[in-house]
Order: sequence, then structure tokens, then C-alpha cells
Amino acid sequence: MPTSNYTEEQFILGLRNHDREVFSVLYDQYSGALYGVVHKILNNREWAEDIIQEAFLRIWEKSSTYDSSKGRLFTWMLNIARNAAIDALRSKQGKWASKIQSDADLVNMGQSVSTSIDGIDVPEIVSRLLPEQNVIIELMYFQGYSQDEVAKELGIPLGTVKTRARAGLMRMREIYNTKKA
Amino acid sequence: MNVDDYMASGILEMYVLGLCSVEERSEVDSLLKVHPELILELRRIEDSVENYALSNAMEPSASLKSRVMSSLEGDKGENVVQSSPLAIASDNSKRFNWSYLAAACFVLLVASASVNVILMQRYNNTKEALMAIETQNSQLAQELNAKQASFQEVFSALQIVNDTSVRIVRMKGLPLSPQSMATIYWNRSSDEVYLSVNSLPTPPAGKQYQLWAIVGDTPIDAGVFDIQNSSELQRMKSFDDAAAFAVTLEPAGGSVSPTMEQMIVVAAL
Repeated sequence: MPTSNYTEEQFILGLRNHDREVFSVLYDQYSGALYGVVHKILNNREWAEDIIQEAFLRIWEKSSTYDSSKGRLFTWMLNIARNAAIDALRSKQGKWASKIQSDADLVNMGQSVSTSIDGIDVPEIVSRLLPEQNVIIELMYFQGYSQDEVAKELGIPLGTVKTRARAGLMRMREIYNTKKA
Repeated sequence: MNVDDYMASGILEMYVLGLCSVEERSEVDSLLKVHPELILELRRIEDSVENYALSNAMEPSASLKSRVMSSLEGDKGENVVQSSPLAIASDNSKRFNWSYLAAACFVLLVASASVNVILMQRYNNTKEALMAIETQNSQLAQELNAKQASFQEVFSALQIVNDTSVRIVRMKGLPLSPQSMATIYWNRSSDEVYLSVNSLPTPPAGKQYQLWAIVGDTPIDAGVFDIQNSSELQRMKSFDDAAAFAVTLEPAGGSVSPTMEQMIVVAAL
């Protein structure tokens, strides 16, 4: 991944001023990270690239709505990209189709997770996450299910969904914090 | 509220990932204003999410960047720059500039070629998907036909058995084969005779089972049968009257009169 000397503040400022040069560096630095997530959601290169294009356009157009007091620029960008991908998944396939897909995915979740995330450390993460937490994160983050929908889909109480999702995320976070250190 | 417990609950992680419900989101929003330590924690979570996304990054194709950058055009006066070559061309319109035409043709050619490639790929994808569905469809049709045939078979057997004028005669095993059993469904109004094999040993090579109706004192041939398809009802020869039914094991093709030592099942009426 290319790195630049721009600070987050410079990126924010450049975005606000619609500075194409800054935007180009921003693209170089983060398109891969956003594309990885969007591709995992849509599982199709061409489609994922269309959505990344849409997301960057939105980032450019909506830059004035970014509020740095609510979170980092990357978090904001990631949420834009993920929302665009989830919207596309739901509207293009229709909700029923993605539901069928997710039912099928649930059946062989153990395999599909380890093969569909690209990256060196994934098998390790999968082995360290409890499967039922994993399923919930998969459904919520990568398939766009609400907590209520996960509860219905898996036939477990809403409280359990919350507990497991949060536990899974905490676990994931531990893993990525360790990595960084 | 205990801030440590709140941080340990995992709700901030959900917040960062955009997975909170509306109520949870506004709860977090208002708590962030009162508890600065939550903001620090939030920043740490965002770091690890960024870390996650960067470690799982994938390279989109190289052409995507120019697509993205050119889709930004139209903002902030870029139009002026874009339109200037045309303006220059019209100023010098006295002399027709062939190189512009050639360039335009080349661009069109490349564009059309790449559209063709994309369309071809889509066409191939669609064709494959269609073929897969067609295969699946014909498999399903075959399965349906087979199911329909076997349903038809069972249904007509049921009709024969359920007819009010049918008489059911169970032929029980003789000492030669005590576990054997076969059933006659004898329709007294149409005189049709059906045989169902409940349980008969597989006949040795060159042998076949033969059904006999005993009319008066005389055994009359009612036909030979196989036991491969034991669930099926087999239509046998008809009789006006019979005092008993019996099955014997005979040489393939049947005998004129029964081999009494080889009688397997029998029923007297």
C-alpha cells in the first residue's frame, strides 16, 4: 500500500477544498482498504469497482458533511463505502435473494469465511473467533442485517445477538491491536 | 454509569462499524459529549478498524482510479479546462485538422473495442448462468416425470385395492418357506385378478413363480410372474370362480400342471 506524508488534517482540508491532488493521494492510500471490504460484501470484482467509484464520488461530493468531532476520516469513508455496497446488495439482488445466499453461506460458514477474506492472517483470526460470533458479524457487517433481522434469521434472542456481536468485535479488535503493536 | 463497564460492553465497536440501532447510536452520541475518556476509546477502536481494513486490502484494477478521478469532473470549474481544446479547434477552423479526426476515430475505436470486451464477458457470464439453470431445469423435469410415474403407479394400485367389489385373499407360506406371503386382489364384478408379492424368496436361475387357481378340484394356470418389482400390482388371468389360490416354483415359462412339492404359498376361500 502506498503511503503518503499527508496527515489526516491535510486530507480533511484538501477534501473540503475539493483539491484533486489531495484526493488522488487519498485514493491511492485508501482505495485498497475500502475495496477489500466492498469486495467481501459483493464478491464480484466488477460490481465492487462500480461501488468504489460511487463511494469515492460520494466522499468528494459530501465532504462538507464530514464532522471530525464524531470520528476519524477513514471511519467516515469506510461507512460510506460499506453503506453503498450494502444498498447495492439489497437493491440489486432483492432482499430475498441475499437471504437465500446468506442461508447457504451459514451452512458452510467455517469455510467461506476463511476463503473469502483476502489476507495473510485470516485463518488465524477465524480460528480465534468463536464461530457463532463470527456468523453474527458476517451477517451484520458484510450482509447488512440489523440486529433484529439477525435475531430472526438465527432464531436467537435479540439480547444474545448483541452480546455475541460485541464479544466478537472485541475479540477481533484484540487481534488487530496485537498485530499493530 | 460506569465508563469502564460501558467500554467493555462492545457497544463502541458497534458504533464505529455503523452497526448500532438508531437508539443505541443516539445514546452513544450523547455519552460521548459527557465522557471524554469514551472519545479516546473510540479513537483506539477506529485505529483497529482501519488496521483491519488495511490488512485485508485488495487492489482494484488500475483503470478504476482514472474512472474515479474523471467522474469528479464537472466540479469546481473543471469544465473550462475540458472544453478548451474544442474552443481552440473552432478558432482554427479554416484548416481542417486531420489529426483531430484520427485521434477521435482512435478513441472511438478503443472505446468500442473495450465496450465489446465488456459486453462479451457479460454475455459469456449470462450464457453460463443460463446453461447452468437449463441443466438444473431439465434435471428437475426428469425428477418430476419419474415422481409422477411412480405416483401414477401407486395411485392406480390404490384404486384397484380400494374398489368395493374387491376381495382380498392372503396366501400364506407353507413349511417350505413359512415367512413367504403374497396377496390376491380379486375384483368380483370385473373378475380381474391382481397379485401383490409381499415376501417371496428370489427364485433360483431358470425358475419362475406361477399362480394357480383351484377351480373345483383342478388347478388352472393363472400366469407366471417375476418378483423384481414387488411394490407393483401384477394383472393375472381371470376366473369366474375359484376355491383356492396357490403359488408354485416352476421352470421358467411355467408348467401345465403345478409341481406340488414346490408349493410356496396357498390360500383357501
